Amino acid sequence: MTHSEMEELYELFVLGTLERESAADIEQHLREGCQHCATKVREATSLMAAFGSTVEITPPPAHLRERVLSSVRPATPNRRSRATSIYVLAGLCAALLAVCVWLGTETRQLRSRLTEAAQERNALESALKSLGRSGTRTVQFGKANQPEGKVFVNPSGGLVFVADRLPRLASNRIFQLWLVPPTGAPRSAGLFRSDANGSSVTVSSVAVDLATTKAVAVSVEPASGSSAPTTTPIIVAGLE
Amino acid sequence: MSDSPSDLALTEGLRNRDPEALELAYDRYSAVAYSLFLRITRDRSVAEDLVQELFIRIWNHIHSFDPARGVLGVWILSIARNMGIDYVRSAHARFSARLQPMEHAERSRGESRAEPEVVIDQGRVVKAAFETLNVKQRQVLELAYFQGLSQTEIASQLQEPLGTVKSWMRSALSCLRSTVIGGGAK
Repeated sequence: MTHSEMEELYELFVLGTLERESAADIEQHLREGCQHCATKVREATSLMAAFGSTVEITPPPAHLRERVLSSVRPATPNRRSRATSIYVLAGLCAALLAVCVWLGTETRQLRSRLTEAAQERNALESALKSLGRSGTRTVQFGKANQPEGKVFVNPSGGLVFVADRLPRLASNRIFQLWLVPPTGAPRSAGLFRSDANGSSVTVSSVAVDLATTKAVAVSVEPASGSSAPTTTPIIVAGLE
Repeated sequence: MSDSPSDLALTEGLRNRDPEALELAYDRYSAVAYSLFLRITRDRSVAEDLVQELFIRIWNHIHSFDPARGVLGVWILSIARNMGIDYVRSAHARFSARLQPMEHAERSRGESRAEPEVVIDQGRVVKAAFETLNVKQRQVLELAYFQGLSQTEIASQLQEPLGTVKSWMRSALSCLRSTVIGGGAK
């Protein structure tokens, strides 16, 4: 195909309506780097676009604009969305700060619980030591619908007091353990509270002389404890 | 169809992913693209879908457009025309196209929000040249452009000899070409 023959076909070539053989000839010619024909093809493309633009104009429906723009815009932020992003970022920072504060509080609470758990673990270790020592004496106490439990007493290791069905106390009251001698005033062996189920395991390291201790008793006292029982004991476990 | 500074700026804006440039491109080219799609597919719903697809392509492929080698409007309309023809050539389109006469379509020529520069320049000259063509010349040109038919297909559809169709096509294109390239666009 000569140049002059091709020049009559460029428009059909760019429209894709040229017969296959002729189109293949022009493609091959362009691949060979003919700048003249490349320019002619660009001119034909421009002419055909101009022809397309002569179409009678029918305005697109108004809703199409937002539909089109919104379908494309999400790929990148615009100024408005950048401003929005700043607010979003500020919101996230505030949320992050709140989370940090919450985490700090939570951390303190967890640390406190950990300390309590460690203390409880130490108490239980002490209890196990006490219970494992020779000479430990076990006393059971309790009646139906009343507090019940056991007292483990070791002359050199102190005592372990285990109780269930303990009464619920007001926040300003506490249980107090007493070592009751045959005669004279009871001696305090420590304070304790029960859990939500009315149970308690209390370890006291106070020395217990079985020869001079007749019983272990529990009374309800003011939250700071008392130097002597101020109420009638709710538990009395005799050691004799 | 000159590439005005604003078209160059528009191209730069699109390359820089500026959403305002996208809005400007839509305002400038959506009407002619929609009209082109409507003319090719004869279906408003399809035309709307194709406009959306067109601007997604523009946004995603703007870096493949070289302003030094062409004009933005030409690039956009070439893509649009090919999309429209690809659509009507698809089997789906053949079955779903509603071939309602274009005369029944609502038209409001004067309401276009932004007349594309592409129409202002070469388009007007080409339109004037097109109106000087005889009926057969116009017909073969329109069948090639708006329906994507080859000259053989046009000859078959019009039940005219292929040589005659080629002659009409050649003379029609020569008229447009000479009018535009030969100085008609001044």
